[in-house]
Amino acid sequence: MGALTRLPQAPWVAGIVVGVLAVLAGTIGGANPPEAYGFCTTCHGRDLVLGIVQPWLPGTFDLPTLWPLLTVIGVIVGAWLARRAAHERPSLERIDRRLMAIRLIQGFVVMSFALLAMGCPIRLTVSAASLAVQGFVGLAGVALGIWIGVQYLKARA
Amino acid sequence: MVELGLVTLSVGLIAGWVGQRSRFCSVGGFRDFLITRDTTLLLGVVALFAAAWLTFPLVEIATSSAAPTVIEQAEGLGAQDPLAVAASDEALSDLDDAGGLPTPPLAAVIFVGGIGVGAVSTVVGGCPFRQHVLAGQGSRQARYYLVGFYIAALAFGFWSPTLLRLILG
Repeated sequence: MGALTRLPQAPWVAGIVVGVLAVLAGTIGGANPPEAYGFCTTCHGRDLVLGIVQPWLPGTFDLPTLWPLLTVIGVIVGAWLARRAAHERPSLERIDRRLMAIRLIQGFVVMSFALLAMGCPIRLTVSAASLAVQGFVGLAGVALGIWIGVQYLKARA
Repeated sequence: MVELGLVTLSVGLIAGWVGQRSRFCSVGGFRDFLITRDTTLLLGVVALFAAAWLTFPLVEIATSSAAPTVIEQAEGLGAQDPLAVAASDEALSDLDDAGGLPTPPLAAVIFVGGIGVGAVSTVVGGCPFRQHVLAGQGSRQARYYLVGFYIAALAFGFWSPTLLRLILG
């Protein structure tokens, strides 16, 4: 376990691991079509949620055709396992009602925008790496958005 | 079906593990660079792009001579992107005809979506992937974020067809 907890501490190692796995899952792993669909927290999360509630809802919306995409479950459990293996304490920060509401709304807004952008920044990056124009368009938007967010943080500080 | 679940679960587990160890964040990279010129996290995003860029042609070469896998035959046929289904057929056939170029309205939707993701994720303090990792390692803030995140995913199923038809015609 020692090497497994120490080795991937550099973000570039994580980037390579996720990049290779995303392409493999989206090609030989069967998470396609669409293209570059191997790893995405927003798309796979949406497909999973819609797939779960499907039996209880009328067929008024477009149902996911890929099922089951358990990527987001894996990420949450994987992070939990890694924290335990490294003997780190869980992040137990204080949270009040106001902050709960803010985070809830922010999560809602990010997911909504990400679905318009056709994916989370990781999928957009992988999509751009497949040389799809929409991936670059999405990433350009994300970059501009981060710049706007940084201006906001600076103004608030 | 079982294979797809196992593949995505395994990929998620490994990604969550390395994400927790490295604090990888697809939004934090550019954010840190803009604020402090620190490139540690940005290198992660660059490596993600480079690794995927190199792996695509390698997989192409490796599979070009081989027959399609069982999973591809079972899962791949006839599946479509739900968002793609929601958009009008014309906009999407334009996408195909132009050799992968999105139509201007679709590109605008993607661009605006990207701006929203980047701006709000910067204020939250991490991309959606990073929030999943934080929730997994015990962050209560990230867990509330995920509640909102998945309510939006559910809502998406209802509003997306109407909205996209309005925008894309």
